[in-house]
Amino acid sequence: MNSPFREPEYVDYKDTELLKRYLNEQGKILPRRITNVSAKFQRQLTRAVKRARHMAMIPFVADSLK
Amino acid sequence: MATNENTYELSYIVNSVISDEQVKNLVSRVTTYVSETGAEILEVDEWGARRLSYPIQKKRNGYYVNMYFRSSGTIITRLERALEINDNILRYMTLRMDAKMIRHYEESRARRVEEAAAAEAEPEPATETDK
Repeated sequence: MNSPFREPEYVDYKDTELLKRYLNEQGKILPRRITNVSAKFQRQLTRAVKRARHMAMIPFVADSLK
Repeated sequence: MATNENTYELSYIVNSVISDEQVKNLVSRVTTYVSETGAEILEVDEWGARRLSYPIQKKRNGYYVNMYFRSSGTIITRLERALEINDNILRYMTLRMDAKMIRHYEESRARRVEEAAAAEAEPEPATETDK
């Protein structure tokens, strides 16, 4: 985050640190209105989040995502 | 042999309630199963036991394995069926890797190798290699 953020060409579902930046405390995906990323990146993000959820790396619903 | 080869990424979660020995056996069974079909195993990256974000079949922990291989697509349905039947596999996911994913994979793999080498150089015991 010290260098300007460049959108990666592939969003890896295993990279939960990256994904968590785009989730709210409940574990919901933040809208593009808030994230301000490109449509392409948001789509990839959404995919990766859903994959990560399936593999129990991030929760479907979280009361507190620490 | 196969005309249409793809690179695949298979991630699965093994029930970690069973003994370490059994986990090890299961992982090697999956790996041999894949390689016996003529696939070329690129890497088996074991993350080890981790806490699941939500319980699966009443289990709170799982042993994560990511494997990468090249093969024809015909084995995938059989492989997934075998994984589905095995009660000790809590979750699995196979992805066909496109060029972007392969590039990303190679970069992250290089990083992992570097980290492992760095950990090796340190006097403290490496956690990645024990198993």
